[in-house]
Amino acid sequence: MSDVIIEFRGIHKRFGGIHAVKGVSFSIEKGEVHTILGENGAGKSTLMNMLSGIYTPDEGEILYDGEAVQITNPYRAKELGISTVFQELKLCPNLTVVQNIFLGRERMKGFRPDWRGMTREASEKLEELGLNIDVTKRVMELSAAQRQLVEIARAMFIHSRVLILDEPTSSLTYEEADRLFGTVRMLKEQGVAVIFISHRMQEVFEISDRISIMRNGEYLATYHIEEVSPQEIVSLISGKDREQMELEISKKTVKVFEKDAPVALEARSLCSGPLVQNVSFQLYEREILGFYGLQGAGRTELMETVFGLRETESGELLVDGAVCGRTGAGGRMKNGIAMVPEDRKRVGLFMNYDVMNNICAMHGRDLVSKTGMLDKKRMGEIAETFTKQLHIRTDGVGQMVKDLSGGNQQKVVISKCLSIGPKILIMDEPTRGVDVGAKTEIFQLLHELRNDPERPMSIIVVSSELSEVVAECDRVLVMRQGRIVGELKNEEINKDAILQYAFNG
Amino acid sequence: MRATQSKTVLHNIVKMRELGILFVLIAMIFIFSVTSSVFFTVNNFLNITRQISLLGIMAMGMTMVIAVGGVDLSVGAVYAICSTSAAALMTRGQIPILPSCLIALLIGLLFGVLNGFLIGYCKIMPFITTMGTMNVARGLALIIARGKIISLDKDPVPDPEHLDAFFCFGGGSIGGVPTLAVILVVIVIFSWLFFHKSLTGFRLRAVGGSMEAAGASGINVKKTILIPYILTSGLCAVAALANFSFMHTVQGTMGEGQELQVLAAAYIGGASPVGGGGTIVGTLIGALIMGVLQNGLVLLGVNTFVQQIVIGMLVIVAVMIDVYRNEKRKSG
Repeated sequence: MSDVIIEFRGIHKRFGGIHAVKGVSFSIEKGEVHTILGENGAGKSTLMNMLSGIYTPDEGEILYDGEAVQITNPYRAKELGISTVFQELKLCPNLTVVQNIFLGRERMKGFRPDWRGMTREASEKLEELGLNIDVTKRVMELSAAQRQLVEIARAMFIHSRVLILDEPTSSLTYEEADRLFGTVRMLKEQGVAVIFISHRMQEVFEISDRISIMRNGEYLATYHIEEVSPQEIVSLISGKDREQMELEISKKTVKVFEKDAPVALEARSLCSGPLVQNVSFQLYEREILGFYGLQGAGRTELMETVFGLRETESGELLVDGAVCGRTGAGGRMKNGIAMVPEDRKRVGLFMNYDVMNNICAMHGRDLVSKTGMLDKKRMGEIAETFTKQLHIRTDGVGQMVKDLSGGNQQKVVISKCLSIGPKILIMDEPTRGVDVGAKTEIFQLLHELRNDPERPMSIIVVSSELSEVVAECDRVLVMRQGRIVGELKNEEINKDAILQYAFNG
Repeated sequence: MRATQSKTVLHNIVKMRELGILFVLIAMIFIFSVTSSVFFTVNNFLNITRQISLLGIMAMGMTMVIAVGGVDLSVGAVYAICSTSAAALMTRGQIPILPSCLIALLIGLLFGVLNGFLIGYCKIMPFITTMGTMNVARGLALIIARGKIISLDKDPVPDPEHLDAFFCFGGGSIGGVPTLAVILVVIVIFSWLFFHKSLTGFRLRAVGGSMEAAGASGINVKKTILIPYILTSGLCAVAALANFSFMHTVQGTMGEGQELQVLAAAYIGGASPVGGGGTIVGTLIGALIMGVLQNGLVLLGVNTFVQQIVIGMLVIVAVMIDVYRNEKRKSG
């Protein structure tokens, strides 16, 4: 009798030009906790989404209990007994915990749902699982961690044979995570296969039976937990051997960062929500400072706090040694900070406007002419200057930004930021969705900017692309669970070291 | 044991969403009772109930539409097309009264299906969809009425022997209570059972709370959205027939602006503009507030346009409270 419940056979998945999953084959057994590890974008989530019916594979097949199955939608997955606890929660905030747990599978008593019975059942079961939640409370009244627990509890209520937990502990305290693991062990003993995705290495080693590693969409290997150490795993995930790493370091030719340069920006114990906890760092003049972290480490949240898009709960921010008194993005811009946001299409640009209006969007009264109208001529001049300087390929400044390529759109966002003459430039994922040519241009520009003899510029780059961080930054700060867990300078910067901090911190 | 039970009952009453507006209603009744001698009489209350019956009937459906995360602007126009088509079928079409009424009901339901289909299945915004169907229905009603008043007292019907029975439907009374008020009460009870007690009612609120979560739980979101629109238009048809039977006359312009009155009643009653909220009792109280206000002001001889000002302010305050509560819950 085979213990295999799920077998992937040569699974491929492409999104446009991106080959997200490349011929993955491995199997998952009944009654095991199987962890899938990989960098951001290694293809873990895509693979799991194919198991839960959100995507279907382009090639290859999924065997469930020895039979090939087509999981074409989430209902089909549920029918098969595959349930998923998603990272982003799927709960109705206006309903109570019980109502959410039984949503879609309500017990009936005549023509009406038997809420009393369901409440009793739910509270008993939650107590059994060691979860202390008032089931009659509405979900909107719960904390983020409690919501996560409700989501997990809901998956437990369905008699699943396969349970996918996609970073279930990201918003839990250690105690709560511990209790969750207790439940996971219980399910395991009942023969449920648990697929676990987590970036917390400690947890992975605590709970897993086997670990499979993915890199760049490919499946590498599966190990029994006793066979490997956390350090080995990390170097497998990064997949870099010594030689390549040294090559990367030698490539870094442009180096102007000096240790005794003045501090341009300083964060002192910034706190904002669970993902920015007591963060302190310094950005030196003319430095390119990289921030790396796995998804959910709090990089974007930190930058939003620095740029005033998020309320600072405590701590302070200093520009050129003076505390920023003004709040909000407008205030920070007056302090000389500009930010290229992560979500270009939604936050960075006005997609239905032309290049000129986008580039001038951060300006204010300075664009109003003596007649009280907008000075279109000046706006045109500003836009022209930057399209030339940044080599933005357009039919003219009147072209709609939605018709530009990703790289040119990003250059428009950068122009917008530069046009207000900032001293500090924050770039959140500056090369996401940008072609290779534009990527190089963007980084070339960054080096030009910070080397500009007349105006010193200091730059923060947040990136999920490890090779980019390694190649372009003078210093790298690694974040994990809302804190800075590591700092690497000049020749210390390499993939292995960064990932070691990011996973094990 | 009993002590804790009574405590939770008290707790529930305090937590009840309707409490605030119930207080407003009681305060209004108190003020009008003191200032007007005729206000606090059985007759006047029956009068008020009759006056708000049409508004109340339509608002029951609207509560559910708002709960599913939508809005229905076509209620007034659907009400008009149902009235005019029933009247035109009877008088010009010479079709007997009962089949004419059934066809009018069917026309109403069809508009509901159209609204629900466009919103649920074609994913067109509720505001736009129902504004469109509002115009279509209104135009058709005006064409059908040919700019005239159709009156059952003047225009002949094929089966005059059934006229009395028809007039009784909306114009009669049962034990001194006007049938319009009875119809309202019956519909309120059924709406309450459906909305608060049945599975469909529950799922409606789930979809209004989060379409994504409801869909991920295996609920048929499209179908769930369709239902309240059909119900609302059906209730508009019922209101139209009841009013026709009470008034004996119809015209193409009737029910103009009614949608805003109905929306006001639902929002005053605590319906949440973001979906997922609202109660039948709350909406009923909302409708009563509007009725009491109008009635009281007339009795006092005050300019009735004051009613509009007060209603406008109440809507804003009610929604403001909802927004504030949600905010507080989220942060807490």
